[in-house]
Amino acid sequence: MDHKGFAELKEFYALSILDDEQKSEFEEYLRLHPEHRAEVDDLISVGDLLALSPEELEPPASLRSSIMATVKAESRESEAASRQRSRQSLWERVGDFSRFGRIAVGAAAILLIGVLSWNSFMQRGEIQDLRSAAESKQAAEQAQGSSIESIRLEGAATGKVEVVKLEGEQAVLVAEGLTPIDKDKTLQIWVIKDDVPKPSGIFNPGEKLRSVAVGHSLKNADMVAVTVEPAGGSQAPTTDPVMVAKL
Amino acid sequence: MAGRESQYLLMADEDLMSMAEEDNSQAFGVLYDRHSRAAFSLAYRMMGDRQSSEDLVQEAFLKVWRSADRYRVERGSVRTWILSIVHNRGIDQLRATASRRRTQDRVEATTQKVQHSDAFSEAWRNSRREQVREALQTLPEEQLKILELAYFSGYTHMEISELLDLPLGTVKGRMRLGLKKIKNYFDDQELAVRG
Repeated sequence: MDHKGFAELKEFYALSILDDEQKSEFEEYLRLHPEHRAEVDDLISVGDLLALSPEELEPPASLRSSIMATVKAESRESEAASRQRSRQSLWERVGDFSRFGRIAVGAAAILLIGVLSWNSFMQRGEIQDLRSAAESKQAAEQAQGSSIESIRLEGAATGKVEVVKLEGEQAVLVAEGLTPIDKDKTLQIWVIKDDVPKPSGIFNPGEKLRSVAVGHSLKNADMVAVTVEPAGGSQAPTTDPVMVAKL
Repeated sequence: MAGRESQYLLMADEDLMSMAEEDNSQAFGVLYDRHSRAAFSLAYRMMGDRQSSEDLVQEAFLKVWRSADRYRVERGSVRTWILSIVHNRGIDQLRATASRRRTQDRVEATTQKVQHSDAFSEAWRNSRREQVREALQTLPEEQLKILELAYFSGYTHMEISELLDLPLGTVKGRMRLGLKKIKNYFDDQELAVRG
């Protein structure tokens, strides 16, 4: 296409009414002569205005329902596929984590001093009260000679992290002495079951003792991991685990 | 309405597009609510019947959903992009139809039968619509006719030439003048053509 052809067709191009062959030739000319791009963009903007000129009509509600049903279904499929990718990714990362000996075993675990009924503390939603309540429960357990199952998480992170199983396979994560992280980050707990990491709570590290409810049951779970995630947490792990415990 | 969905209502189209790109169906739903009337109106103007218009809008919005990552803010507004998809798909469908319909006459004949929108809540959009209509009213009938046949019915310049029994040069000239006058109208009013 030469300049004459360009000049003849530019309005038609702006109105999107060239056939495919003409359109390709026109765009090739435009690619070779970028100095005409602004002029064509101006014409396109004018042509676009025509889209606003028809009398406004209300689409039927059923159209929205139909479109959104498809969109939601595709969104769910995409989310499932993403979860699947994350599962594989995390599992691989956990494998690497162990294989290359990045686990810094050493720090003495902190002991959670008690156990509290999961249901009651969920209803109260008072995590801060957990420790004191747990202490009482532990004292009672000890008095009865029963034991508390706690599992230490190990990894590259400094500090001490432990998961303590509660009644009904629920659990509390207790941490102390963890190095602070960036303000726009958080630590996130994952309960991994059948290769599926489920987001199970977030917490911020610090020198002081912190206890966090683990948001998923540990029943039949394979592993608990902690990763560093953007503030607010993630739906799937985005980084390698800094602490891991096999259950 | 849930809190999160309420937040979406306050977001700019461009932000909602970014969220739709991340498969956020709620954000996409807000975009649909904002632009479906304009899209349906354009589709109806092109296709001339409600069923074909619904099919076209559905196809176009699903393309928007599936191709959200292809939106480029520097090329224009989200609304313009959505309407261009409706338009391009509509042209394809019209051209694929063996017996292309003269939609203008059909629309004029049926406009009174359809229910007009009462949802004129977004004042600036309506203002924009009015500006465009006023600009089109400044065009001589023969220029307007050619623009409409080209834009809404997808006729090529040669087809319009045959249809109106006019020399090809006349068709091109009227189209050029028509677009120029619309641009001049906006320039004279110190209104932005893009929006």
